[in-house]
Amino acid sequence: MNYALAISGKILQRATMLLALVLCVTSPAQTEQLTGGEYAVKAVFLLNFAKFTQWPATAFDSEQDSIVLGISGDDDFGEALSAIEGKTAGGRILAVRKLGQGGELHGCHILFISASEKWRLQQILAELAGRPVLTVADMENFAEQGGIISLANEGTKIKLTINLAAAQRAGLKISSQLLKIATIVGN
Amino acid sequence: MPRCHNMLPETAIAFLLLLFFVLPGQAAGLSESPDDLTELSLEELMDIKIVAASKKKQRISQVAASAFVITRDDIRRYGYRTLGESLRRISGLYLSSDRNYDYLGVRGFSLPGDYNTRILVLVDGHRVNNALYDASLLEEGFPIDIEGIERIEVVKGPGSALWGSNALFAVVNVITRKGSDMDGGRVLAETGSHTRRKGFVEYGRLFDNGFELAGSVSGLDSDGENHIYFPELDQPGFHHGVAEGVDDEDACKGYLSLAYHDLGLMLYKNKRRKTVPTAAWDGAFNDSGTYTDDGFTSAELSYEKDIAGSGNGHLLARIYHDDYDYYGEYPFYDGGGWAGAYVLNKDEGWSKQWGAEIRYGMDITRSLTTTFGVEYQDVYEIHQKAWFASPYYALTIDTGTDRNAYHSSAYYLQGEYSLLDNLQLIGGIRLDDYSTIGKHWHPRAALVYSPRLSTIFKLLYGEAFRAPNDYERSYDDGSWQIGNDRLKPETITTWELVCEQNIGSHTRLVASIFRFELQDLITQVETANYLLQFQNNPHEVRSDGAEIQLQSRFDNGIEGYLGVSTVNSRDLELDTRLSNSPSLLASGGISIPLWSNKLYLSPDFFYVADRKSADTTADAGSYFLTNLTITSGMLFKNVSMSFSVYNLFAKDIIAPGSGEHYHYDPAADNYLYFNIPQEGRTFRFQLSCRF
Repeated sequence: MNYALAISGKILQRATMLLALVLCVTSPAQTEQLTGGEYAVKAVFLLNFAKFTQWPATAFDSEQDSIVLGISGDDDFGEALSAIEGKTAGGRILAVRKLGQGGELHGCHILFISASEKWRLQQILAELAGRPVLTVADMENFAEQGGIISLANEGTKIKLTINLAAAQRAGLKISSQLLKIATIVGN
Repeated sequence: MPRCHNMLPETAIAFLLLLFFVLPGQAAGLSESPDDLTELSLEELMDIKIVAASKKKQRISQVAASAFVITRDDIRRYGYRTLGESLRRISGLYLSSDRNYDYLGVRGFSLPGDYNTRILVLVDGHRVNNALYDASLLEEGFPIDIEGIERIEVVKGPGSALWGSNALFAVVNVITRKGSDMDGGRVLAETGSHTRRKGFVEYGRLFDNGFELAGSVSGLDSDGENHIYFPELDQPGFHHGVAEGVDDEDACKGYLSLAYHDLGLMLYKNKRRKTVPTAAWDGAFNDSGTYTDDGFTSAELSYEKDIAGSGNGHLLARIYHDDYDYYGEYPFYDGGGWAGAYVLNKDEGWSKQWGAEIRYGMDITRSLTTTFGVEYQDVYEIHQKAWFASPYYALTIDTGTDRNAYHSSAYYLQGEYSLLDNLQLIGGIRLDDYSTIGKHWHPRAALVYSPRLSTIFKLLYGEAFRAPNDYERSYDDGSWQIGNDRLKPETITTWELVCEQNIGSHTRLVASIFRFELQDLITQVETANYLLQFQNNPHEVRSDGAEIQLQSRFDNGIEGYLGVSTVNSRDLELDTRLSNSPSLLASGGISIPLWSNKLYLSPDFFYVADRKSADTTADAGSYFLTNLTITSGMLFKNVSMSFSVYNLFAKDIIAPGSGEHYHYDPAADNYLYFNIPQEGRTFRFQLSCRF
């Protein structure tokens, strides 16, 4: 039985050393390509959406009010949101609220809808109809289904799709700087 | 820690080599840290190459189930020392210890003598329940250190439609900390009552080229309670029922995970030794010679990819190898009790298996998502052996290593269909085909309805099973216990109605009522010629119950939870309540930040109503257990501390003993059965430092 343990330990050790050597040899040459963790990058996109969107005056009670970013459903961001929390966008501070499943959506200016809520997406969008809420998700076809901005993964890059008609119905103005790097869809 | 010395240096060296070879390679060509990303322009953001962090393979749709999450933050705030201690905060779950292992009861089911066989435990989706005893360990025998856990996902109810055997009452998925969670290194030192000492080191990072590394090593040494009093054994020959200095525990664990783009490798290994103060099976009482060793060694290689442009397609392929080792020494006096010659009984067992799985999920249409998978498992070695080592050698049982080998294949399919915008139907079925017990089907179905965003109703139905394990089928020593190769699997059918409701913006309520019926329960019985054998119990067990779980998080930082559950678990034919099945459970905790988040005060409590023991012992009364943990926020940017008191009011708590908890009294010529005293008041202090 000691023999079995010793063998397992040796296999573990050898596997790790082999992997170390393999990774050294196959490590790609260093380039200037910028890289970032998936949700770290998506979080920064959310901050940028806050910077490049204009809400109607009725969306805020006062000039000091924060822009509230709500995360609805399972939280895939984790620590990544702490990098954008408290930053300024258009003269306002960005506040982050993790709503979980079915949390109170009202009071959010940006709502990120997690894939866990996909099954009742239409119910969420119907609830927000006519309200100045910028809806964002990383589900496929989110913009085609009535969401405003879709942040999908395309290979190793992010692809932006914006439903301009949905933005207009919500009373939101999206800056041309953001529109020009995105694919526009919409009805 | 004798055996830990064998594996620790090897693994540590391999780990350090990895750091020294890989790190310098990454030092050149740095890219922006997350903070700097906020300075980039939109065009630069569009150009960034995404390195996907931790994979989502563990996240199967939780919509169709009663799911709960325990976070790293919960573990820190309430000072949970083991996986078992963290799980009992969920309503309907309770923990009992026999001072050897900890057992988790779910919904009124925790028969003394069972080995957690009816709960499936996973680490990052990898099955931990070993092939030999069908069980996972939940105390220090659990292969991943509590400090290395990022999150625990618990699904109450049957899970065989997706996971196969063992998922009768719950599926517990332990998600480990990855490189992006650790983002650096941490050292932790722990000291506590009964000379408890523990050291833990972790290091992990997500590197710029997408390579992610995470590893940890820990070692624990505890002398245990010096003085444990068993009132039923209060006889002069049994040291007046006092077991002194025979409760010590040693454990060491190592974990390594590597990920590079779509490939992942996970390795873990642990070893745990516990001295057993109960000296079960009429062993030599108050003798430090009774102990058990348990160890897991596992490796898994996985490939996981999002297939874009094919309807959220997701592919997972994995191949794995598991090793489980057990060894125990049970000295006893051959005249019974304290009479006769001192004989050393030794027991060993191991199981080795490898397996592979492929799973693919995609959206077929906008309203229909499906997942299907195939799994194969080959348990190529199962070994059990027991013998007397001194004063003479005598072999009791030796099953060899491949006589009881077996394999199984499984196929499963699940579909999620949106009937309406707020109504979803989920159905799943799995076929398991064992070379020992043949084919078995397990379906499940769920209807999920959301009348408004803040409310979700779920109507759930599920069937699950547990295949008889090798110990139940083949442990045959010819004199006390015989095998049974005609054992059928246990099956369970569960109906449940769940309501999840958000109240205001700070509170979430989950309420459920359920019924389950358990058939062909495998229990150990005495045959006509006084031998022990595992048989399928012809009596059905029925359980009806209700549970409520409340969780709140307020803006001022105060958080709290409360769980209450009631259950009636009965043997239908005999119309008696099961052993160790409390009719009422309650648990709750509150965490209060003080001094602008520099300190957190978190008391918690557990109430367990009285439990019936076996017919031969007095029932175990109800108890109210209180713990208190004080944690600091991050001090001096890198340091944090915590101080905990467990069983704050030093209550005398008892768990019902099982069939092995007896001693023969030679003076009175009768058998003394006993219950198990649980831990008294203990302290723990932790100091942790990031680097």
